[in-house]
Order: sequence, then structure tokens, then C-alpha cells
Amino acid sequence: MFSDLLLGFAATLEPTSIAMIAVGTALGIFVGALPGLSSPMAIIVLLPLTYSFPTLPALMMMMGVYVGTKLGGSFSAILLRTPGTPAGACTALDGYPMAQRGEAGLALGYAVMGSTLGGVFGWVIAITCVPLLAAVAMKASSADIALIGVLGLIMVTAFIRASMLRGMIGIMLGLLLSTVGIDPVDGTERFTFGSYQLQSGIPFAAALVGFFGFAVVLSDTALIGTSTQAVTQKVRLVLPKLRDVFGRWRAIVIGGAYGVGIGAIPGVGAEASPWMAYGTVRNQSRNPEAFGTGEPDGILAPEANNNAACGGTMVPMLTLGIPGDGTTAVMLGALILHGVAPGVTLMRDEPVLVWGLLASLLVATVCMFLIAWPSITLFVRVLGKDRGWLFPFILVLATLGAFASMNDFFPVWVALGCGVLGWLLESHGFPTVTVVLGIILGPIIEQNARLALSLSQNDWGVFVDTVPRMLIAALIVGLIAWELWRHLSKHLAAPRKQSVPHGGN
Amino acid sequence: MPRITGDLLLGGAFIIVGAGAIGIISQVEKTALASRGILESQTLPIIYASLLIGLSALMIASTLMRSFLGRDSQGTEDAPAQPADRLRAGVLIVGTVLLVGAYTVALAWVPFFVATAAFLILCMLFYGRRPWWRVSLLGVGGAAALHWLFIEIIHLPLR
Repeated sequence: MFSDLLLGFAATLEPTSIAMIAVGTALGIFVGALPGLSSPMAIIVLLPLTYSFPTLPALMMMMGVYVGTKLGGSFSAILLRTPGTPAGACTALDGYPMAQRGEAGLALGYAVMGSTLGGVFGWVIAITCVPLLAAVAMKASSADIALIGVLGLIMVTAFIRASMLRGMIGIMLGLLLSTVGIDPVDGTERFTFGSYQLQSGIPFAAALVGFFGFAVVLSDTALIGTSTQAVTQKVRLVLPKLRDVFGRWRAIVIGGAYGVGIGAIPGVGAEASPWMAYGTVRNQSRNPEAFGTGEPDGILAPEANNNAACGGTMVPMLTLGIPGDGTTAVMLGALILHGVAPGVTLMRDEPVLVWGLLASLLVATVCMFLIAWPSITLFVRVLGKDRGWLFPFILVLATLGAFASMNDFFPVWVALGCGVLGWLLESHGFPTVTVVLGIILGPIIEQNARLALSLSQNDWGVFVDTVPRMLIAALIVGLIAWELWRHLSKHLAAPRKQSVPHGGN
Repeated sequence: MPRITGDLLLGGAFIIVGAGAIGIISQVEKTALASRGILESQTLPIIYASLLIGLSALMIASTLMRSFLGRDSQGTEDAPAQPADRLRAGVLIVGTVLLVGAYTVALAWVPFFVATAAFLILCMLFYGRRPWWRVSLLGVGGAAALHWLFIEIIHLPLR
């Protein structure tokens, strides 16, 4: 393992790679700091540039963006009380009160330290778990892979913030879209409508650009013309004393553990776990009433959580080909665009890529620490700028990203269509990440399920004929049953609650 | 758009999409290589489309039930409060889509630098950015930088 890791570091520590990670991290902090913009969108903006790069440096740049956005989100949370990312919302609870009492620099310092230490924590877990899980996953047969794909989709719908019903509808749309094109098994044309451009399916890059680029701009046009005022314009990062930070190790470890553990569950991503970590740290604190008034533990725990989640999401992505959140879904898409097949065989087929990517996670965390310090004043200035200046450039880059995927205008129209569809879905509470996951995992599930069935002479029992398959199938059924029970109990409980006052009166 | 109306319209649209998909895939001619397995090339699209129809029907039923029981507390929560805000949001979204569409058409006929500079300037003006000289400076400067990066360095096959 160590020799593989060293190989990964050798690829990562080349000057070009370090420069790409640094550029990605700076862009990530910038995008993360701007409320409304997200890391998948930043990666989409980078897509046209990365086509001309080799796969590993391109993904390293994306890793930098991923890590940087996590910290950037806390800048606006602390200075504006407007989190740049959903995960940063928790940081605002204690970061903003600290900034209000004139300790903005120190609050940002705690955020930087929490993010860095959490990132390192997540990295250690990722390099430990990825080879172990990959070794198990490598033995998977086509039936196992199909089941794991279905499990990934069900997990996403079960844990995502929206209702499971909406998540399932999104998944079905994505799966249906994934069947467009020539069937890879027997060559039958499906939903091509006679168009040669659709024979190879819905252009994947175009779908990503549409759902994570155009759709986000369309959703955020409401922000145009609204300006936000930072609590202070003169901020200098004040790093807390190491003794003070390590004295608060409990908050960092709890935050990191939640981040890695829950980040590794596909679909949960970084939205729920910071709140869980914050709640646990507050409950275990000797001084819980200080939380919400500017308690450093209240910044360290969610920030450690945010960046540890980066390590957590790498585990299912690199071992099973299942993305943990929107950003890893786009990174998985970028792998496909660069001709690399993600999935259980990735570690065997592309060990340098996997270890290089894991090494770049640590390098990006270090870059984040180094870049945040001198650039904070610049970011504060940028925070006050109106989106109306930025969106036109994002639209141009998104258009070029779709065009460059096939050097044709057809993907641009597809991207625009997906953008409008994505905006419609998001504005009605359908998580668009489910559609993208359906498009990514659809072909994997279909090909492996058909292969498994043909190898077993059309025996459906192949999906439950070993203990791991039975466990996965039970997990799928259990998750659906749990969500149904949760839904029904909520709906049945509501009228009872409503009827109590009437009965009482 | 109120949440209930939106859900009903979207649910209806998904049912139409699902039914259309089943109709189209059922008429697809199989190739000589067509698999004889239990899962043919039509099977999974039909399963996905059927599930889409079923889930959308469930969403419509659940929405109607919620509306009859008067439990749509979040009903118009996400919608802009004022009609003027709704109109502004609608104009910005439709305008953005039209501008990107026009830019895509223009890229096929007009040199990249000209099309991009015009798009950036028009887009910034449409978003209410002023003064005009700053908009023009950013538009032309930005287009020049993008031209250098994408046409000179990356060699995208655009004019």
C-alpha cells in the first residue's frame, strides 16, 4: 500500500500537478465563498479546459476545487451569515457572532484550522479504507455490480434532503435517459428518433453542464441585483494557538468522524452531517449554552466535518463507482469523459490514478491552508460583488464546456435543455443529482444485470444466491420499507396531532 | 407557481413522458443480434417508464390528498412573494435561455471573439450592470482572454 501511495505522491508532487491543484483550490475557495455557486458548477466551468489535459492532472484540479469550496463556504457564513455552501450553514451559528464581536479573523482562523485538520483526518481514513474495500469489490461479479448500482441509487433517494418519492422520480428519469442510444448488448436503436447524434446516447458532458451549470445559473438569477454586506471589510486571518486548537480535539475528532462516516454514504453528502456533529459536540460540552454565541468548538466541528467528508466520499467513488454527492458525480463523469471506466475494477486497472487522486486530496488540503491565509482580503472584496458580473462568464464557459465535449453544437442544445429541465426540477423540490446518478449508473446496472441473467440461464435467483448479495438485496428492500414507514407514520401522525386540541376542547 | 399546481403539472408531464417512452420502445425493431435473454433491449426502458408513471401518479395522488386535507403549509413558500418579483424572475430566466440560444447560433456563423464580446456585453446589460463603459471593457477584455485561452491555446474548432 505504501509503495502505491508513494507512487501517487510522485505523480502529485510534480510542479504542473501542484500548480493545477493550487489553481483548483483557489477557484474552489472563490466559488465556495459566493452564495449560490457550488463545487459541481466550478468543476463544470473547468471542464472545457480539462479536455486538453491528461486525466490525472485534470482530476487533481477538480479535487482542489472540491476541497477549496468546503472552506470557501465558511467565509461567507462567518462574514455575511450567508453560507456559500449548504454545509457552511452550520458554521454561521457560531462564526457570525464571533465576527460581530470583532473577532472575524479569529473565527476564520478556527474555520481554516478545523477544515485542514478535518481534511487530514478524512484523508487518513480514505487511504486506509479505499484499498481494503477495493480488494473486496474486485471480487464482485456482474450480479454484485448490478446490485451495488441499485443500492447506490436507493441510498441516494433514501437519504437525500428531498422526499424519497421525488428522488425516485429523478432516478427513473435519469435511468430512462441513460437508455437513449444504441443498446450496447444487441445493437438495437432506442429513442434515437433517427438522429445519428443520439446513437451514442445523451452526451454525458452536456447533461452535466446542463444540470450543474445552466440550471444553477437559472435558479440563481434571483440573486442578481442583491448585494450583501460583510460584517467587516478589514479582515486579517488570525490563526488560533495550536495548544488551543488541540485542546479542542474532541470537536475536531467528532466532526471528522461524522464527516467521513456519513460522507461515505452516497447521497447524504455534506448536508446532514455538520448538524449532527454540531449537535453531538454541543451535547458533550461542559458549556452547551455557549454554543450559538461564538463558541470556537461550534466552528471547528462543522468545518472539520465538511473537509473530512471529502475523504469519505472518495471511498465509494473510487471503489464502487458510486458518487457520494454532486461533486463526486461530476468527477465520476469527468473520468468517463477522459475514457476511464469507473467501478470496482478501477483500482486494478488504474492504480496510479486512484493513488494519485488520494495523494492530491492531502496536497489540496495543504494548499487550502496556505492559500486561505494571504487571500482572505481578496475574498472579502469579492463577496460584495453582484452575480450579474459573474454569470455571463459562467454561461460562456458552460457553453464552451458542452461544445468542446464533441466539438459540435448539438451538445450545447442538449445542455440548454437539461439546464431548463434541471431548473424546473430543482424549483419543485426534485434533487437533480438523482437524475445525473441515474444517467451515470444506468448503463452499469443494465449491462451487468443482463450479463448476470444470461450467465445464469435467466435465473433471477442469481441476485440472491450468495450471502453478500442477500445482504445487499435486504438492504435495498429495508431502505425502501424504512422510507415508506417514515412517510406513512408522518402522514398518519399529523391528523392525530391536529385532532388533539379538538378532542381536548 | 404554487407548489400544488407545479407538482400536478410536472406529475402529468412525467406520466406523458413515461407513456410516450413505452409507446416508442414497443415499436422498435429488433436487430438480428437481438438477445434472447429475459432482459431484452426494451425490457428495462419499459420498467423504468412504468415506474416513472406509477411514481408520478403517486405524487399526484399525494399532492391532491394534501390539498384536500388542507395540509399544504409550504404551499407557496418557495414562490416569490410579489407578482412583480415573479415577473422579474421569469423575465431573467427566459432572457438568459434566449441569450444563450442566440449565442450558440451566433458561434456557428460569427467569429468567436465578436460573438462572445457581444454576448457578454448584452448579458451584463440585461442583468442590469452599469455603467456601460465598464460593461464594454469587461465584455471586450473577457472575450479577448477567452479567445486567447480557447482558440489560441486549446484550439477549439470555432471561427
